[in-house]
Amino acid sequence: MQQVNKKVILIGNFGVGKTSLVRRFVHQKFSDEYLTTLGVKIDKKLVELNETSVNMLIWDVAGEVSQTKVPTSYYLGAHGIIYVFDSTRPSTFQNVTDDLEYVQKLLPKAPVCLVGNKKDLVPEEDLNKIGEQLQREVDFFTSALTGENVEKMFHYIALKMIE
Amino acid sequence: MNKKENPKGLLAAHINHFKPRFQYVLLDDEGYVVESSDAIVKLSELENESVFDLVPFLESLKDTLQFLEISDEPLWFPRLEFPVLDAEGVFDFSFRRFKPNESEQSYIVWCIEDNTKHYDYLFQVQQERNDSMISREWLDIKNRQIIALNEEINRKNQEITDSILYAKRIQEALLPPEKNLQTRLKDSFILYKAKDIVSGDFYWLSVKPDVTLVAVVDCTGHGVPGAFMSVLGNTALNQIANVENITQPKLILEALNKDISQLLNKYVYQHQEGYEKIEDGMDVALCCIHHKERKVTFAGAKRSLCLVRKGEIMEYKGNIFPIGGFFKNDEKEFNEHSLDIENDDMLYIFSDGYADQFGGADEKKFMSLHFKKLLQRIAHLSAKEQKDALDKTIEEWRGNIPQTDDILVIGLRL
Repeated sequence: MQQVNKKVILIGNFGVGKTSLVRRFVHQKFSDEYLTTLGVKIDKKLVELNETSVNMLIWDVAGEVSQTKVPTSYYLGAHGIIYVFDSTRPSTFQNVTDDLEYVQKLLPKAPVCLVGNKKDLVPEEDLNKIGEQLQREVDFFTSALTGENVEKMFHYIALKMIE
Repeated sequence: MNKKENPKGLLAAHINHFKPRFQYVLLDDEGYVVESSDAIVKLSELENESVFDLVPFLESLKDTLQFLEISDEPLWFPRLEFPVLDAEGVFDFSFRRFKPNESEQSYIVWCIEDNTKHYDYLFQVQQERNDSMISREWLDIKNRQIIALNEEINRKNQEITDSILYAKRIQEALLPPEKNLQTRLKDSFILYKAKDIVSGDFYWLSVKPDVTLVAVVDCTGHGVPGAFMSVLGNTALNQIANVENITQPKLILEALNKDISQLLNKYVYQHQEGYEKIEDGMDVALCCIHHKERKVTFAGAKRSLCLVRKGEIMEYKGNIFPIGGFFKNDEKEFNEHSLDIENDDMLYIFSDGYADQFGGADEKKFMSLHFKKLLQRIAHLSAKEQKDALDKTIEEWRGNIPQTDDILVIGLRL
């Protein structure tokens, strides 16, 4: 089986659950204690997809209100982008369009996965409204607490990165 | 504190505490350590091991570093929160390409700056900032939800009020105007004060060639359910007196009881309680004034008739059971009183709303006895004056206390 290294960065506002998603995906754990990420944390996990084994190097970047404040060096060589927002806090998905435009300029070839986290706290009909509001399809609504769609979401970006 | 009092070494200790530690590592393109100052982590002892395989961060940068040129600005990665081998902390990394004099081989200079103590402080500040911003946003969200909920409640309240106001028009249309009564009995009044927009009390009038039937009806409850009951009662009374032409109060009440019991003797589904039997009913005071014979016949279902004659008050009590309700039908036979009329006799029929009104200094009920004494005191006045006096007295009694129940008093000068 062929093995490839792929760097994926998780970006988005602070407190949206980026670290929790990585923790759930890599370590199958969850804690509801919020500890801010200061700069960047890095984890890795091997994902097997058909004929390819993807060594995912996951950069969990400190949350910022605007992604222009993230040191540009963090984006260097990234193969994929996961933009996470908090489905319960509208302020975390207000800048999605501008943020993604900025990041895609830096990484024009990298696939983007738009993720609404904390889905366990929001009724289904409200999740649909978020999608309409953003005028962009939300790829996944996830819950780091229950693990719902977390694995699926990382597999999706892994697949996109090797396409 | 002036300069002289400043303890020596305080600033130096502070600087020393926050002073970063540095380590410089010389790597080849494969990530093998050529040389290391080892101030933070021992890398010089690594043999045949590439740091690219040991530190995931460097593994993810492998391709980028290989394309780093001597002329490029150093690559700087601040605030890296992961261990470098066995060294825990928060580090800043920088990388630049370096080529010793005349040498063909170039190397990567990796600078590790341990800023853990400095970043500990930054972490606390950032954590507090983020916590407070998230709390503030949550508070805003909750406030907006409460405002939206209030608006929804107000909107629904307005819809309900509009609907009840429209129902009030219908209820008012069912009530005969006061002047209809005054056409037959000049010196009479109707004091009608609904507790809510629509009322569970109603009065009923049937004018026939020789007799006038007047009833005061107090349905169970007030507001909308009371109003529904009042429509049933009004319809049944019209049918009995005006279609079936029954004029004897006792017989009217017995027929009314039969009709209402038949209509309401059902079990209905209540959302939470399951099936429940309807036990609603109405209290009635009904009198028939025989103009030629100059007499009054009266029957009551839990209501009385009061007669004030020459300053004395007499009470004619109705039966103890209501119309409908939970009493068995076959137990209900109403009594009938017959009264000969004298000039200036004043008759009163009324619901319990007046006597049950809370108020006064001790916020107690007005009470039946107090009410009867009041009637006795004002009976000599004109009907209009009596109505005004009754209204004024009860309004003063209740003051700022809300109206307890629907109020209905009818006074008839014979």
